[in-house]
Amino acid sequence: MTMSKNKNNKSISLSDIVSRNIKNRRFKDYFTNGITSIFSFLCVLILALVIGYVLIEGSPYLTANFISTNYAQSSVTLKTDSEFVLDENRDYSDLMRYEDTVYSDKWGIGIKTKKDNDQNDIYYISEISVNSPFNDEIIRADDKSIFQITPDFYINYITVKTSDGMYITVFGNDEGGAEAIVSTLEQGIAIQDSDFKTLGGGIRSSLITTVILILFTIIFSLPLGVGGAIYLAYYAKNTRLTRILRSLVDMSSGIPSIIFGLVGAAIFIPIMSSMTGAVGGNVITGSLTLTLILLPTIVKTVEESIKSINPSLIQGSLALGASNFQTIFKIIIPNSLDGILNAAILSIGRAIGESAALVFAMGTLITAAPSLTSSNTSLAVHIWYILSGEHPAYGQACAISIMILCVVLVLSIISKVIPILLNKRKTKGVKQNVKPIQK
Amino acid sequence: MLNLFKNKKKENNTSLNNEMISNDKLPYSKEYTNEQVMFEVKDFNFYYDKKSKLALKDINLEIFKNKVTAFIGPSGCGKSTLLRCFDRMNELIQDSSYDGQILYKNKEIHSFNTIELRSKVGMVFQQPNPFPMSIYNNVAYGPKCQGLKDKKELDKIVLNSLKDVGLYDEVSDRLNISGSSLSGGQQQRLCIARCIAMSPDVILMDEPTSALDPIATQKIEELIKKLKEKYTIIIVTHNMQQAARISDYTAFFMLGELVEFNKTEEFFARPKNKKSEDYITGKFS
Repeated sequence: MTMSKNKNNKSISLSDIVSRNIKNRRFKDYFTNGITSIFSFLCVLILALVIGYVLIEGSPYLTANFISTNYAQSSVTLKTDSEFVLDENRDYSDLMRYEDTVYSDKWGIGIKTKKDNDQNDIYYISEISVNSPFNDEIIRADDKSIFQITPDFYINYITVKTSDGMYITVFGNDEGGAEAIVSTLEQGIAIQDSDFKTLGGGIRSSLITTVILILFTIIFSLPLGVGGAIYLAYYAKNTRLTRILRSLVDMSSGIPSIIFGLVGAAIFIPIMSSMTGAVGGNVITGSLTLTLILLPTIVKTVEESIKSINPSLIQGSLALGASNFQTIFKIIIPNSLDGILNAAILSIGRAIGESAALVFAMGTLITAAPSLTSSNTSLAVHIWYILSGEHPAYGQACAISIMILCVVLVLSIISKVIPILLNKRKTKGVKQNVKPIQK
Repeated sequence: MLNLFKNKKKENNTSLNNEMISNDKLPYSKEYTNEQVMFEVKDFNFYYDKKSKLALKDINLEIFKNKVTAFIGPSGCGKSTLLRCFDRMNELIQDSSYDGQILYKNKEIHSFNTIELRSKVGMVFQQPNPFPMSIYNNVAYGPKCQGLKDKKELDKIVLNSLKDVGLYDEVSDRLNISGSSLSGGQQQRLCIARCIAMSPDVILMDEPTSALDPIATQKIEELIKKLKEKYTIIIVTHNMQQAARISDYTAFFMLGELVEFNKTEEFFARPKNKKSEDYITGKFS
């Protein structure tokens, strides 16, 4: 039986096997084709979902107010002097009388409506007449100083004293809006108590801090990185020491950034505080830590781009009697400009996106006034902060994410465009003001 | 990155000494006074890779002023290595070393600063290597690096150099276009112009025409004949006909040794060495 089967098998020719297997093999081909295309589609889909979620959730929050206001609210309590009584005959003819503003003719102010970061109506004093008591007779309750109210402050509540000794309070979030506030004000002869607040919840300080952080990171990391790359690519001989150095540089690009944050917090913050007396992390320690994180990448990028320069250019320069210094500045740096710019773009992207290291090295306190010596947050740390509380503000986090995504998108477009522009310059000719020489 | 000679063939140390003629006292040396000897190579050895590879062995040679000296020989014979020793470009190669002497105008070349030496001994490379900058800046590169800032003087140097290499008429109206946008032959002449802008004493040429077409080659050869009135030229070439056409002296190298050095007519008409004869007649290459 087995013998005969064997004999049967032997008699089957290759063409028979091909025709028998062809269906099976083609099915496997279609299968792998289909499954891999589904996987790649899934990858793109997940990415699209993430970006879509961020865009849909964040876009309502991404308003001019959100960008231009500070995170912390500040409030001020204002009142009139205890002897103050409003006289009726003040001249408020300098008010502009806009249509969208409700005016109080008794107090000489205009009240307007705007939206806060959560899309609620808020009311603020948009116009104050020269003769209005709000101009020079309203004082702060705490230190009795005159306070000039600005449109940044919205009305939380106002309590007025009427002519018959009653007190009426109107809240900013009462129904009735600006008209209700004005009608309450009209009944009063003095302001017993009031509370004005700034919006808060915005990202102004974090945005400014991020820009400062990027600037300092580039100032610290680019010269260091380019210098190191020039040494490794141009001066360093191929010895065991430089090979070890190079592989160390390679390795350190894989170290998790939180470890760098730890090192930054443990080393840079004490040094900074001993030098400037600043307590805790600040923008400088943050950018120094980012420099640590970025250096390996910058060195690698720039070194690769220096190595891709045709060595005959460098030899040609040296053979003309140029010094190493001149060769570096006239040949090497101009010809590795794309690498250097790429490294700069990488640094910017990393400085915007890095959060873990900066939580330690720069701090998490969102301050109103960004300064070089106090704790500040970058946009990414701002996201971390508003999500880490009891009431995570997902919408606002998404709004910040949109901004970060936009910057990253722009940066990646720039990094694609730069090589094209540089190549054009190389091949088409250098725009320089060289006039033809007279014969 | 500068280790261009890494793939050098392992040198075979079979001695050619017994077949060599002694070139210690060349008969024609007496024709030249001391001032007319540009380079004098004395018992020169050159090694790659920490003395493990002997690239040049006991070279004794004189280069005469305002003459074209051609170095010929099969690949890997050390002719380019010797050429690069004259302007100390070999020192860029890691782990290379030498012993013996090369005298430039009766002074040991290592007593010069490389910047000083290379400004007097120019070099033209095998591949045209114009800098990716304008033609004007290419030619003005050397003088600018030496610290010449006067615009008029620079203009004069650029103008004369471009005229000397016959490039001026071709590019006079577009001196601000990139040097790399020229044709191969023009690029090589630009590199020669860049070299003579430094007004060197010697121009070293490392197979300057091997990357060029016949017409561009012919132009360069005519240029070399013209340039020897002003400059001393040493040219490495694979092309024996070229050596015969343009050179006054020919040095034949093999396996790192100088086999024969003689006046070009003498060398090609009556080679004194069997190896030279074989090489000229194409019995081996």
